[in-house]
Amino acid sequence: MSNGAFIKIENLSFTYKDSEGEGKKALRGVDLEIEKESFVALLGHNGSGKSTLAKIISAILLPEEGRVVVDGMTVTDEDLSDEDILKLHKKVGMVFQNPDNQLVATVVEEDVAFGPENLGIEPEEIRRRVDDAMALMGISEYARHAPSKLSGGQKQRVAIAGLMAMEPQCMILDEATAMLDPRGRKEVMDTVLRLNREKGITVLHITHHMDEAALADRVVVIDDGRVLLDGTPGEVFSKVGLMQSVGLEVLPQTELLYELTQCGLPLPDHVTDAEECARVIFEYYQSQKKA
Amino acid sequence: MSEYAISFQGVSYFYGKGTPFYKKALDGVDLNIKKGMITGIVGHTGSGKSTLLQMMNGLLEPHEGQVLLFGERIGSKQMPKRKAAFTAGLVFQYPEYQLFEETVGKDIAYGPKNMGLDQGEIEVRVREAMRFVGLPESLLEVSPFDLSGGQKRRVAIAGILAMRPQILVLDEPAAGLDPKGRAEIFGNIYNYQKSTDSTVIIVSHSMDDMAKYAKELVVMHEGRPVMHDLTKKVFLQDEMLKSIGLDVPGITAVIKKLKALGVPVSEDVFTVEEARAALLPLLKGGEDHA
Repeated sequence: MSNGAFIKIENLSFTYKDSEGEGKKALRGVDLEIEKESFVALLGHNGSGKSTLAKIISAILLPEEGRVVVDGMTVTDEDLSDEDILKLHKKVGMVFQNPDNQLVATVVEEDVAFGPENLGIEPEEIRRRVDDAMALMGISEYARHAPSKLSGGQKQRVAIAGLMAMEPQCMILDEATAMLDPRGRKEVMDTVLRLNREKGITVLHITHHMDEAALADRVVVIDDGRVLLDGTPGEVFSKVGLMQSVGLEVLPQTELLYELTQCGLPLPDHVTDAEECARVIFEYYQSQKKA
Repeated sequence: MSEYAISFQGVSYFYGKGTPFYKKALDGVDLNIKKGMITGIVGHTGSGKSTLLQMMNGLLEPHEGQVLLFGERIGSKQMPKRKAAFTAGLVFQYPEYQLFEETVGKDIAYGPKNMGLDQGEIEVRVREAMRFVGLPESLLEVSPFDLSGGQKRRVAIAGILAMRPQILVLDEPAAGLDPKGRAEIFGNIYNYQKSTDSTVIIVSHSMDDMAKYAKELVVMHEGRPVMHDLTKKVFLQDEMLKSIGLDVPGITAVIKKLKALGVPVSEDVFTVEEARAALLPLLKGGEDHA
């Protein structure tokens, strides 16, 4: 089962300074390991420290304390050279919330080529990678289109194709589905799941959508700069009261079972699937009828 | 006066006429939105929702047909465009990007100031609007740019409420917020509607939120309203919703499955709260007999 840690986070702390120089602690000693080829969802209310964590992993921010090792490479050293950062960005790619802020070219395929061009890769190899990445993301038919004419979901897939052309081993999605409609969210989730299952890309998915978190192998909840919960979606979602107390929600079917157990009914609380939820309620209903 | 807050009569609108990007955004829309309640509008991106919204306060003019506010055609003597703009207050998606003033107080006061109100009245309205969206008065003198994303969103909504519009129109008011922020914004809007008895129109992709807050629901598809009824009645047509690619509330799948298994639960259940209330008597039945 264990593929070894791809990202190792040790005792990580970070403080933001506001304009008056006053500090706000965003991370307070976080320890976390992300397994190779796993799909991890990271949850937490706004301001809980999720994005700070993602930015430290990508060496956009330097921590106050602690360290992060990505695939054997320490990324939290102050004297990281440009070469090291380039090396890191070949390992880990990031997709951000606003699709309009991360597309740079006027034609889709040029946008996808932007990353590998910056890595100094041979033109023929770039062509191959761009074509492969566009095919993988299902955007080949828009290759010559202007990104501005695409929908939000299509734009995010262009952004992800641009990362894939850099052939990273890990992808961090920082609320990359937040600005999309349900169809766009599904497009992005389907493609990211496929990259994880078929290509073994490690995925760290930061989201507020619990239905997306339910698709992950593992769910980590961050609150007030610390890891609050860590487990399978079923294990984490069963802590309904705790989730609600930190400003999060769970899937409606899990919340329903929780509400019923609060009323004294002996029902299981680990259920995240709607059919399964109906089945356990039905079984209890049957047993009551007989009794 | 009309019983409807907004009426669309044969309204059509086109984008890019005479170009390869020609698109009929609205196609002969007839729609009457009732006064004094929350009406939700759902539909895919590209279904015409945003175009519909921008016509509600005269921002866009129909290419065919007409839009009426409280029975008066926008652009008529009784409802000139300027009056329409103040009658229906429009809150766009991510309205916090439009904040620009030095302080929260000044930003919220911008609308009422444009209406030509006197200073005393403006101050009353600014404070009232802040209360509606749950912003403490201590923030009056703070720069809006020092606030969190959720607070900025509230400032932007308060700026519209301060104009005391008879109709409040919101496009995805909770987009991008975390679950707590979402629930708070929707709670604020719900309570605002209750206490002012005004007309509120919300565009949202979240069927769970619509089930909780909207009394009536309009479903837009390919430039036309294809359903318009009490929210519960719309959700009962789940096959129809699915056929045009829209979701139903999360709890619906559980209730449908229970019914299929033979549990006598009403189909008229769309929120966790309703499901709990409907299931408890069925499940606790055994204990009562004991």
